[in-house]
Amino acid sequence: MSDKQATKNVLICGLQDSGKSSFLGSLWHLLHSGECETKLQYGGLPANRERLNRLADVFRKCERLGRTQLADAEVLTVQLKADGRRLELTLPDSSGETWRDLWETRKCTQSIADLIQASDGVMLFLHSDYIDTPLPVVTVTQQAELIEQIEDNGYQPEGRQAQPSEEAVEYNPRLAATQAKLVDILQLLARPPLGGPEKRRLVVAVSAWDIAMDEGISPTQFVETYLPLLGQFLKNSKDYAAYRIYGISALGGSVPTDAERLSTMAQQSDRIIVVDDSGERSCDLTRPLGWLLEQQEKQ
Amino acid sequence: MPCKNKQCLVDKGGKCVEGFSNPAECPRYANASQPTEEESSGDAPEAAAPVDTAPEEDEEGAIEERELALSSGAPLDLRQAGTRMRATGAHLVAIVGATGSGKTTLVSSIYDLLGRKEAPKGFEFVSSDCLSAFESLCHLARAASGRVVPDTEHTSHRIGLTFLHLGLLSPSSLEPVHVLFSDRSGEDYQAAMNDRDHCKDLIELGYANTILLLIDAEKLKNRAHRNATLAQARLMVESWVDADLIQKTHRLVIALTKLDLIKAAEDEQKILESFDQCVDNIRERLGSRFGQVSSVKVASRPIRETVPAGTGLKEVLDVCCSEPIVLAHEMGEISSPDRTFLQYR
Repeated sequence: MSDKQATKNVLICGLQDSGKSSFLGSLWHLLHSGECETKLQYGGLPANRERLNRLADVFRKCERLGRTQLADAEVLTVQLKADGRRLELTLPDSSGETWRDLWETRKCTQSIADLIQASDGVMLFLHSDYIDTPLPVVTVTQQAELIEQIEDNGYQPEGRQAQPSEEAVEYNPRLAATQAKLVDILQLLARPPLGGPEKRRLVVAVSAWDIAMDEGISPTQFVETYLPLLGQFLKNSKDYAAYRIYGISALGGSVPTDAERLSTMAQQSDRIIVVDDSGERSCDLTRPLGWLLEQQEKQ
Repeated sequence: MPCKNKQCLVDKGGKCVEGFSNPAECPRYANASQPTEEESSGDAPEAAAPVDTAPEEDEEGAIEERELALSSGAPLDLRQAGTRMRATGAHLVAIVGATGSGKTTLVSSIYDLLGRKEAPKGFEFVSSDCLSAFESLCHLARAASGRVVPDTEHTSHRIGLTFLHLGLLSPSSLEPVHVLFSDRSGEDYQAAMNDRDHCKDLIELGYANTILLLIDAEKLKNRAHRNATLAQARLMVESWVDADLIQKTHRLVIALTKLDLIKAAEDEQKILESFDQCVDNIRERLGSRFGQVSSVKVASRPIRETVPAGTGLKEVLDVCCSEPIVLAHEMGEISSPDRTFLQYR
């Protein structure tokens, strides 16, 4: 085994509650416990592991993870082994506000810019159940009129009384479609001043896959169906060297609702679900990371 | 009590940005009266630092972190559009028409349909430098605006000329086609119709690959207005020719917009016939000055389901994304980088 150790950086990003920190907690449990065969293996304890241990503890206790606050943002380091070689992987655990602010304020702090510029691959998280898809006015109005006709009793759709057109809600970037925010963030990450000349690989992780998998569609089909703008961007844009979409459930269910069921599982790693478009299901959270780094190894 | 997160307006009746249905459960709101550790020690960053500035100490000695300004996502100005054209060979589409004829609605509807998987057949989204602008332009047509009838914010005369960028995959091209749609107030086009010097200010017309002239179908409902509206359209085209803005490289598409508003109208057929006559008239009198003249009937964002959303937009995009007309005898005389427009970068 070679003692030479490479350092790789994967940028973990996504809007609020998209599952970034849950992924990191489950990943650390998975690596440290050795309960499941993984593409990248545990390579020892990092010097600073307080955050990793805290996140993994929340996973093991089937608790709801407190939202990562801006002040808490931290770059985590894990020691790995891949094909007999040692690898140090850095994974920033930053809040969703960090990434939301790229869209809303069009600014980026130098420290976040440094993380982005240093990254070898990008892993974008989106929560399968938290997708804002703005409805057209016409659709809503027609639905209201339909109800009006059915009831035929002088019913007035609420929207008409509560918010007449002259009192329209002003536009706020927060009201934008989730898919527009995500495409914009991906474009910003890939282009100057944040992106460099080297194109990176991109993983899109659809989190809470335990909810989405009931639909019986692949992760790519999910994105194409519920986030068509993002699906088209991934397919057609040349901003990234390559991309893959994974369905990931780092917790295996909703916590605390499913906590009892989840905590009784023999191996906590069995809670984890990782699915790719081939339909292959495993608990190996290092698969997407391994694929992101494959390209780097080849270069 | 305001939340510690300055962007959260929960104290003003808004929703908790952290997602808590009961704001009291939110740690940031619940602790709003308590200074954070960082604030207590004076290490907390204050208000956003000026963009692209070196770190500075504020009055309390805290260091404000340097911030990078990112692409604004807003409509492109002339200089940015020139840069985009040089980089990608973007096609320029000048969208022209009277105030309220649906110029901005047409472009924002193309974007909106792409995001709803209802894009004109064969067209797919690739990228956009103007996502923030598009989302803002679509707002008044979305339920979140609280409106009962969809609308589009009218382009102000004060804004002048801007461009909306869309990278598209078209059925006729294997490579992405980048399109810059001009966005200018209808008042400017109406004023230019009356004054040759003013007309020469319409720089986007001279350099456009395609000129899309919009005629509001609703204005053709009333017979008196119909004649005036169609005469205005003819006059607009003639004034561009008169100002020497038109070359054989130009494609002219005359579009009847808001088709849904005349569908099933009593004199729908007469309205359509009068539009067709207007197109024939323009083609007959001025068609030889253009490389191509065509017409299309459009319902970008129907208010009623009399016609499907996006009716006619495929025909519009087919023209907008088609290869620019290159005149054989002009090849080599003017190289692209020498064009004044392209020097804005």
